[in-house]
Amino acid sequence: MGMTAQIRPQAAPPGSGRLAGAIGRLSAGDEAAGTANPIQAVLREIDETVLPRRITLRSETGAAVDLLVSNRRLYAVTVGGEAGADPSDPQEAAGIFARRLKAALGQVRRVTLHAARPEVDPDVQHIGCTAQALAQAIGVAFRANTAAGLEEFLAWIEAEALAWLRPGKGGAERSGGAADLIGPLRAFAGRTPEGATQVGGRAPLCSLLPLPDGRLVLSVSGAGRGMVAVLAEDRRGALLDIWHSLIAP
Amino acid sequence: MGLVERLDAMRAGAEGCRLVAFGDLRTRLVLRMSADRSWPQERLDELCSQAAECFDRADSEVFAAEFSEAHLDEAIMLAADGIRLFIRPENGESDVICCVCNDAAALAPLASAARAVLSEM
Repeated sequence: MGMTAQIRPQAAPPGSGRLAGAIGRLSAGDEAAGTANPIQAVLREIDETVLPRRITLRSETGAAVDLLVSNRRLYAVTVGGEAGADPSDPQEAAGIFARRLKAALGQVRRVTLHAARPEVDPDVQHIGCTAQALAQAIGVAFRANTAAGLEEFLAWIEAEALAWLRPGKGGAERSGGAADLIGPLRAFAGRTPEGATQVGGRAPLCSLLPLPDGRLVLSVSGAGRGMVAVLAEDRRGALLDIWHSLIAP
Repeated sequence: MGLVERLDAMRAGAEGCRLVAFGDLRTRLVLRMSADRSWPQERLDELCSQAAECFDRADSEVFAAEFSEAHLDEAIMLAADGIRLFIRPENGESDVICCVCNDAAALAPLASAARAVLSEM
């Protein structure tokens, strides 16, 4: 597409050190590597914004788009002062916001981002969507924050597995599911961790060993997290789908 | 048909498959491969080592005692850059076929093809 995001830390409000860090990273890293564009810059900004922020995007033609972001979710896209329809669920929110962003930024080559504290915390009264959901609605690939994506993946396993165990330091182990599987999982967790031979660090890995009865024994690691679990055979497809959407889009 | 041609056919027959390699679990070396591009040697070494680690866990006393004493011939590893499928022979030889693909739909045909290749060797 050849678009470039020009991110400038202009008039950053107090407490926006994280934003300044993101700005520096985008300017010095992604842009130099040729991977940044306005949509990707916006997705990353949403994914990395925890505290409530009103982020104003301004294109080279002067057109402005206001984003209301908090808790790593986008809650509103205001274009030309128009906020648009209120979504009734996160999926609809992703669709509405995607259409408005594509219309506003689709032909734009450069944008500047300016962040300020909003008047209200948006997640109190609005329905929002994640950067990942927004990227899917727009139809672009986006790799979410690895640690956050992995945490979501582990949360999915906790909800879906027959049994799971997360080893922790100092007796901080957590587990759930069938009690008769926790002991075997605890013994299995002591085996060699994933990624011992991985080139370039500790990116998330999940290994699956299919048992003769169809169940899967899982071992997940990355970003300082770990889990072992037993999953039913019929959850295999969903597991691969959720990994694809959260970790390897 | 030679081994490389078989690996080529496996890769061509599975949409989204980027690499099929034949290696040895004991030495952790890739011996033959078919790929859509050049793969650095360290990545091939990593792939074979990951296969060996997966099967080491499957063969461990802990795993046999707690989950299954059966000889598992399949392991899957999900990574940020794709899905890795490892298939080894049922006869306990240290051969392994490693596949890297983008799409989960490729796993079943790749596993079937890999078992066929290994059984004919």
